[in-house]
Amino acid sequence: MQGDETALLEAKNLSIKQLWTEVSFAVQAGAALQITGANGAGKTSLLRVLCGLMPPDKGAVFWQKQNIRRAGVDYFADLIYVGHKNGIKDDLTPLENLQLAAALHNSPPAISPAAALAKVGLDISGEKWCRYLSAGQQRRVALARLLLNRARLWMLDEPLVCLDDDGRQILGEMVAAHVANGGSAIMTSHQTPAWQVPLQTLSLSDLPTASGDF
Amino acid sequence: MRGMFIILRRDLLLMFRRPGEWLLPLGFFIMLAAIFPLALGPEQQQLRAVAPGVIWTAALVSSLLTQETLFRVDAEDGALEQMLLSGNSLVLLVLAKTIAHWLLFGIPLTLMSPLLGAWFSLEADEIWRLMLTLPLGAGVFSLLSVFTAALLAGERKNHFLGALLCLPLCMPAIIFAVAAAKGDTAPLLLLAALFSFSATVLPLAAAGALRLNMEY
Repeated sequence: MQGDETALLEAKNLSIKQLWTEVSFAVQAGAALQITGANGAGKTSLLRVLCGLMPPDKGAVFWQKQNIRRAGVDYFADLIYVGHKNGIKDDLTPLENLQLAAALHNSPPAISPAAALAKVGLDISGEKWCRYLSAGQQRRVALARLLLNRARLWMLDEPLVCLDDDGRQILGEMVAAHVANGGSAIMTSHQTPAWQVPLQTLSLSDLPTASGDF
Repeated sequence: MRGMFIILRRDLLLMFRRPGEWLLPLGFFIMLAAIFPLALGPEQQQLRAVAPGVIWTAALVSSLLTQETLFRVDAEDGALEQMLLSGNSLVLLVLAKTIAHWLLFGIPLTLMSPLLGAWFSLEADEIWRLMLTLPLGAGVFSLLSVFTAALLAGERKNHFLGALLCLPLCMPAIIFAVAAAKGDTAPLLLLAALFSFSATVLPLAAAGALRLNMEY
């Protein structure tokens, strides 16, 4: 499906030495893609390449027909990345962290930080620092960032890690609502979550078939 | 510009919550400088002669203690990734870090220097000259600290390597600052020139280094 007119994000012949070669795919508006693969298969590296945090050895990533190296700020304004690291400060409260994230992001705000916290099921009166939260609660704070700004593309690196059943359910609903609104999501995960979202999959473990169409 | 103020405010708030991180180097500065009169003996003439050099050396050594955490914590908890992806100019973010470092190191250093001046039995005008050079020289130290910290942002244990890299770069600042503190005008102007040059070039270099380090 290369050269697809409606693709939001398109990867063309991406290669990173010793990880994977010739990865090509396109993600449409309103689609969710799950990247699977064994430990060390390069899932996180692929996400980092897609975000523009790391240059690929070969190939390029296109955001609405424009190379992300050139799209720069326009691309970042439409992207929210929740990485392996949560990107929240230990010595700030969840609310302060979200206020900071909302202010730093270059896109119009969607809902208030307090509302985002309530949505991910964190009902903590703002005084507690993130340092004192459990790993799962910290993960929820990081995921609440997704709701703060109107960005069309979500990139989630192992979003299910540390989350309990309730948390996974909430994340599933968030992704479903995002996709229904015409947004796209790309996530890496070992398990296939039981969500009401049609997930396309890209397996990095058997690349010959993975470089085909979606 | 807005991103710069957000990061600056965030860093000051974080430092307010972790006071040890900036108070300990200041305590170290005082202790280190205070040891010299005890080691050299109480002869006033001699103490007054060495005071600027000793105080400046103490300032330099304690500034080395502050650089290790500048970017390491942000790199570890993922805040740096988020900053890179926020679309804000990396140079402005680096500048915010530098200003925060200067406000919490250079300025308190300057404010504490009269205390040390009295300890070294300096005259009022000598203390005044010292206080004039400290914010400028400490500004150069802040810029260099941020630059070396950015160079080593990808490393895990960079404490000694950072110090080793930073020390030779600080030498011109030390030379001019000590000479200026002894009362000459020309070194003071040279120090100001050095500060302006560093402030123009080093944030750009630090931003470049930071970007390279994130691309592992």
